[in-house]
Amino acid sequence: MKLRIVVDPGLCIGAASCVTIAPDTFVMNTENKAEVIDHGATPDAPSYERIVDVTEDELQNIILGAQSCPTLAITVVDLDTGAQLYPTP
Amino acid sequence: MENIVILGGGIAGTTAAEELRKKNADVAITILEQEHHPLYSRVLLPHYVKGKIPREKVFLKSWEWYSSNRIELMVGVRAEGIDILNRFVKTSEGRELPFDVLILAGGGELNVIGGEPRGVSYLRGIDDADELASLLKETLMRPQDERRGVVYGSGFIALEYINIFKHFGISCDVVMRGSGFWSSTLSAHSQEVLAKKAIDGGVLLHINETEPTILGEREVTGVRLSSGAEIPCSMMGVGIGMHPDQSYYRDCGIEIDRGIVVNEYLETSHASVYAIGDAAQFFDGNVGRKVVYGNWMNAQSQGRAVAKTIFGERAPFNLVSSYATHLFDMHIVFIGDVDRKAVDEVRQVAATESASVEEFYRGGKIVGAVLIGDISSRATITARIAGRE
Repeated sequence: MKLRIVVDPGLCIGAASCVTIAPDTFVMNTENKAEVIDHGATPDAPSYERIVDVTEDELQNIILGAQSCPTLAITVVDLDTGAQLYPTP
Repeated sequence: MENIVILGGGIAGTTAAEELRKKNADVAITILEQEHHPLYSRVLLPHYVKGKIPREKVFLKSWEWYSSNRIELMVGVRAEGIDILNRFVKTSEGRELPFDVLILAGGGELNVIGGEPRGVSYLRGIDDADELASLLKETLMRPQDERRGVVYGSGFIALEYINIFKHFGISCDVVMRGSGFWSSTLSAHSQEVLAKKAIDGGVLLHINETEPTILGEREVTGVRLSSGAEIPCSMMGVGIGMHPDQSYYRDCGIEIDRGIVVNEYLETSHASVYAIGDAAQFFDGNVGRKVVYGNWMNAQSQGRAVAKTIFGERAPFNLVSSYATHLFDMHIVFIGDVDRKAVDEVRQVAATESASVEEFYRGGKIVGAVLIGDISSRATITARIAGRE
């Protein structure tokens, strides 16, 4: 399934809990903000937003990573259905 | 197992409840929470106070979430005692709540000055943030030269106040009990880097002030220092630490040291009684001793871990947690065990005018680090503490 994963750098405080839980999807940059990566890789330029293709298991872990954010800085949208998976609207 | 009772509805207790419900549809889950709100993020309070997000965005759970997950949230209720032998919790309402499993997930109590006039604020919960937001509004209605704030403290909350005052263009004097920011944790160099950053940002620092006098009868008007000098202000932010509230479990027979003592599985010495989050003093295998951490990542992860333990997926709790903050645009990260009194050696591995990196060692192994102004080694230090590198 395809996900759009977005980090709001204005909200991110660099707690890095997402990086701890989902290190294949999130990485800290030099500004102490989380960026989105694709299965551990950074295709194109570093970005706060990325579309990634994931399995069901990977999805669960990415949701856990997003849920761990103390500032709700991470949004996950299922592009197949258009539904926002986190934060639940 | 019929009843699980969780004392404390913060991120540790609520995460535990959520994970327990995912694993078992039938068990009764009850959370006792002293405050009157569903779960919210304390970490978001500065964002809310600065007006970066609306108040409703601070909340992480709605009232409906608890009912739809059949988690009973008893708000405004405190535990007054625990009877481990007969397995019940006595509540402030006089009820006796039976439990098969008990999870102690309370936070700390604020250290307060007491008897302070209006205008003196704290920043622990959302009620404090509401009051601070209205005090800021009042101060911002004054002429520019009367918009004066004083911060009392030198740790995480003091930094939040400095950032908030700066955000609103309110002048800022910081009164510290010690020699600088986190004076019992940081090297002299780290303290200097932070002091310089603060001073360059227009903040005045007053160090070694152990008993400042708050002036003003009904409303705060200023602070008197030990020299007799008076700093006028229209508001004051206090962040002088926390202490655990042990009143309701002190006499119940569980082992208490700096926190509730648990093993690496978050189990107390009594069967089916667990402690997690800020309240727990747990064995951290990554640093080789029992520690108390008061950070979000640790609390949330322990909530998840205890649910697994309770339903038989017993594994040692393993996390290198950290706490990140900032002074203006300068990043500050504390990783792992940074108790200066409990390590053998602290190595100052980077020291420039605008950066300081300290590594904490015990028994030859790195157990913690403080990164100020240069956080580029965060990931590698975290991995070294975890023993992965």
